[in-house]
Amino acid sequence: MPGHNRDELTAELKITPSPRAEQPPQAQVEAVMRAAGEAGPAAHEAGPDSVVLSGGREEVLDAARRVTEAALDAGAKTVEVRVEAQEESGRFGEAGGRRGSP
Amino acid sequence: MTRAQTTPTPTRVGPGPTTFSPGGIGESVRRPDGVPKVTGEFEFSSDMRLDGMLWGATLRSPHPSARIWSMDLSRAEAMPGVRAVLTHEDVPGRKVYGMETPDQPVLAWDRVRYQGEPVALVAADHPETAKRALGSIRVDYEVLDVVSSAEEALAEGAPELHPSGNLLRHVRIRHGDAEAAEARAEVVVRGEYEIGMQDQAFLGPESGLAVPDGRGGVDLYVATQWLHVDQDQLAESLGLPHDMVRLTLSGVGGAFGGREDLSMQVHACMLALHTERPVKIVYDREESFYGHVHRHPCKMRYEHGATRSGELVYVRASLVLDGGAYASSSTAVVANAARFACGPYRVPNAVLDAYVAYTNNPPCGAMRGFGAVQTCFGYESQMDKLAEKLGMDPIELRLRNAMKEGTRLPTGQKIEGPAPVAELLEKLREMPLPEGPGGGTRDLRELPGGVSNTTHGEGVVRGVGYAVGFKNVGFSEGFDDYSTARVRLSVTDDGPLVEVHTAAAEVGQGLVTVEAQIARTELGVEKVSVLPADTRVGSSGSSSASRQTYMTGGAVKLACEAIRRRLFETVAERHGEDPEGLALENGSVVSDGRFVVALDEILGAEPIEETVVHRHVETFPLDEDGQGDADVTYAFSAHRAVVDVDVELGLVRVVELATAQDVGKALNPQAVEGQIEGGTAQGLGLALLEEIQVRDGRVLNASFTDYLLPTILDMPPVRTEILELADPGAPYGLRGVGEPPNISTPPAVVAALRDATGRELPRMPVRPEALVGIADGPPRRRPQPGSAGYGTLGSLEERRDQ
Amino acid sequence: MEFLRPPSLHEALEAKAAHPEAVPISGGTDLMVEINFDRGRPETVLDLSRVPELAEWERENGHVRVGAGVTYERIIAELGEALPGLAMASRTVGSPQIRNRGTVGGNLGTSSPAGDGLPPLYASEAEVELSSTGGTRRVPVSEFVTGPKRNALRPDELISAFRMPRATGPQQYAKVGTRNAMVIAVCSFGLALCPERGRVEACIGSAGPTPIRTPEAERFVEGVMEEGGLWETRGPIGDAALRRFGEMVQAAARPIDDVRGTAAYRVHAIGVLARRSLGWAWDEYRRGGE
Repeated sequence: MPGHNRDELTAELKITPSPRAEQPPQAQVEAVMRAAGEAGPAAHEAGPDSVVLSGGREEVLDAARRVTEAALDAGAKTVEVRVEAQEESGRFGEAGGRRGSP
Repeated sequence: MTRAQTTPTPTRVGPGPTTFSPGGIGESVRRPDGVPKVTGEFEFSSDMRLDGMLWGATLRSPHPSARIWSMDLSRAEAMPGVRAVLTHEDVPGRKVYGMETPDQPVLAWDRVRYQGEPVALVAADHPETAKRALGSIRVDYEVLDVVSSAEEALAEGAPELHPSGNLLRHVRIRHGDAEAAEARAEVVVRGEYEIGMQDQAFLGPESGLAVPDGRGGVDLYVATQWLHVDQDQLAESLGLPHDMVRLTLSGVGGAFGGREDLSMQVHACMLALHTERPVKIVYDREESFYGHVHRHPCKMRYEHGATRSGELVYVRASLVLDGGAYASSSTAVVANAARFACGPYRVPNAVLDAYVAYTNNPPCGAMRGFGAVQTCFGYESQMDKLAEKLGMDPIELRLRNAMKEGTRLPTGQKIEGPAPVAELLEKLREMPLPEGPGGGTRDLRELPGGVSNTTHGEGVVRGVGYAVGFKNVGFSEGFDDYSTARVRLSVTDDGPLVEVHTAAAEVGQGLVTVEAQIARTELGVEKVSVLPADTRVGSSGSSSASRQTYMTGGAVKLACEAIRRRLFETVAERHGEDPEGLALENGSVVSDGRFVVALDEILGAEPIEETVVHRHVETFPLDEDGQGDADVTYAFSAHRAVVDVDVELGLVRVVELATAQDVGKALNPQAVEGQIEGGTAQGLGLALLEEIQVRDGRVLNASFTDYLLPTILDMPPVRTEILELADPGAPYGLRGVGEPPNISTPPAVVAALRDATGRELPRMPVRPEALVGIADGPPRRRPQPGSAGYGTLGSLEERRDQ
Repeated sequence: MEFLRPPSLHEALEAKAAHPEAVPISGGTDLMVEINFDRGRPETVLDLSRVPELAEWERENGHVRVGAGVTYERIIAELGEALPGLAMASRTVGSPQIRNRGTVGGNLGTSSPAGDGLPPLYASEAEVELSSTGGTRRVPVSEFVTGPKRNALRPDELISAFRMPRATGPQQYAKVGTRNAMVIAVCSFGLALCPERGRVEACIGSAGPTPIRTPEAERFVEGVMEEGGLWETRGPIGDAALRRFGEMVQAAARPIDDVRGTAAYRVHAIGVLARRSLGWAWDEYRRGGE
């Protein structure tokens, strides 16, 4: 397989649309998806109201902030952000080791 | 939902340790699974059983692109014998997974992006009940437009499959100054080539057994290629820490790249954790076609410039790969396609662009050859075209441009160690050609069409073709590639014993045999036991990229060496010997052939155990111009194909395939020959038969009735010449063996077909239609000039007009 | 799923009368594929593999009556001389395992235009014997097969046998598949020479909704032979006539595009097969006179 690393970082953003915002809930989610798509790193749907950004640490963190702002601008009530370092199995059989630089 | 009343008693699941017939490296030690596989006694993962076990089944989308408005599970849930019906709402952790990028739903929620995408799961007492339950689930789909090719996906205004667009990766390589070089080119040839979607068609379909541990964790026994990358993704999607998701390799019935991505792993674990019962999932053949990734279809445009004397001056290439609906390992495949796009030749100037795009076709990913198969068909077709235009012998042209030690690839990377491209071609040229054609034979089995009685010699024309190819061994582009081995030397009642424990997947290639050979050679101990591969030991990386003997064989070697060092220190201490002069032979420590001490005595009741990580040299990512030392090392092979074509019917019999391959060092010569013959057969299949036919996102031939694999009457004898030119950086000097034969076979076969028919044959597999000059299938849509993939090259017509 | 396994033809017919919905199975080489793919789930399966009457064949004044349960392997081994065209077709069916189980009765029951057993039956104008508790009727095979996977079998009937004339001259069967063994026909062609009647009989397989007879091409060649007195002299037919025969056979084909091949290729290949088959059969006839 990979000639390529697994993405270093992922940020999953879960949107709770506000029923009181100007835009209807579905439009709020769509606005977030659009912003995610334009934010730079790879963006994929990760659930009915979720988007996952994946890639290098800096670009994902920057993008997560921009997408969060877009969500708030669209009227979303809550944005849950879960940033996860892609954990890799341990080299010696113990769980949860991080891939170090060689 | 009823729960299991009884706790199942796992009698035995998965494989036990394997012991071996004697023999060290360089010997054709017999594989332990050979006889059991032939006699039907081998336990494949699909054969596992446990008391109280349930059967899992997967509901899949019939549509390649659709919105899901609603799902009605009530009838399935009410069926007697059904224990669980699960959807995306039941995914405990992250709802998307992926080896490199998490983009693929464990179970779809509101949208499906390819035909066969998993939508819901059922666990039932009986597999038939599970099947009936799937049939009773009502899904309300709204069918959407289909993006049916990579060109379409990259065109302006195409529907986007994912928020960040359809372009998955563009690899751009700029080498030398192609524009300046164009002026020096006296002869230019251009060509467009295409390769269809090949399937790995492993004979053992996806299968595994998930066993809940009663404490919230799960053990999964599964046929896979890389236990730890499965474990990583399982942990994320199950929302569990790694140590609660343990994997053990069970009998694998072939892999070829198709088992790198998850298939039933998360599904079986979800069902097992939910029902608190062991759950087994086994795909049938049709489901298997939908259940794993395939080889990327690829469209290639090439332009080669050369001097009149046949020296390559520049190469321009534009490659467009169809990645299907999800990323899988596409981003790595496309980089391989780009890096090896010029072939094993000295090319001073190159402009290479490779694109991979999301479409609504089946997801594509790893398959034997991994991007290098596609481009080898492109550049070797070009080399033949160039030879023809120059009036040169095609072998002569290849020899003139053959890469050698010190040649720089278009990435700027310098080839270290032997690059025996010319030697391989010379070897082939020296081999005598088989007699023919037909030779007045009346045996139908030796004629095109075989037993179907289509010719008694009429229309049969002989053709001969050559090809040479190469690819990287091991993971590239800066990936931290390592393998772990734990080796233990102890004394038993029967004398010294070596136990080897790794997580490396034996997928049929013969790795466990080689591990035992290495341990036996390094430690001079007859009795070696290879423990089942599992996640209790560190990662070995994938059984792919022709890397496992190199990486895990290397790890076993290092671990043995570490044990030997410790042992010799003890011997030196206790017996006053110089540790430098010591060696291990037949269960004893010797010094210059003089017996020093028996292992039994020196070890006593204290076994020595070492766990070691083996890394290959560091590699680096490609920069914006595609420059960088991205690869560890390379493997080379060449093929000569001799074919008889019935030029009236377009039917083919391959008379002989001859090959020369550099393997560095043949640790097990018989296994090496097996790999070469197998890869050659798979290459023949790609050249002539094997294609998943997809129209508007739908698979038309998901069965072995219509996805045709070569039979024994299609596969000729293989004449093999094995070179052993040591790779200085590798354990024992070995090179990867598995992939190269699969790379150089297809273009050699097609070259022979061209030789016999005089036709261009720009597309593989070559169908009878093409061999007799009848349009192959319905007309294909022309790509739009200017759309991505064609930007750098422009349309051929445009360039011709310039 | 109910599974019926009658030990005799009589009981099989009674079972079919009582369970008209029952799907007969003999070798299972078609039916089991359908079931495994989940394309059909018969409520009742009627296993005919234990019915001794169906596994017999016999000579009947110039004809051979072959029970519907006689396997391809037995046709190859036992009927190569009496029914050479059918034996040749049988050799092209599947793998040894399939030929050990599969039957011409199954080919008839499935009525697929790609069934290898059908063109020889069509060419020799075989009759299909259909039995029920009410009696037996014989139907010409070309009337029995009514369309792709459709036939004239009534719900209470079983295919008990087929009956065709013993060969009186050379016969051929040729089939194009993209693989050299174990392949479903892309197209095929069966041919029989009947010197005593001055007849050439031919049939195209897998290039139309049913196997297709080629009367115009047959009459053309018969004319060539009559005109040249070739049946008597055993002289050569000549390339022009062979080619013309191929073209006229092509003209009768009505193929479609599918995963196995394009219509255009099928038409092309049928012409080649027809020309070659006639050439081979005629060569054999000529050698027979030496």
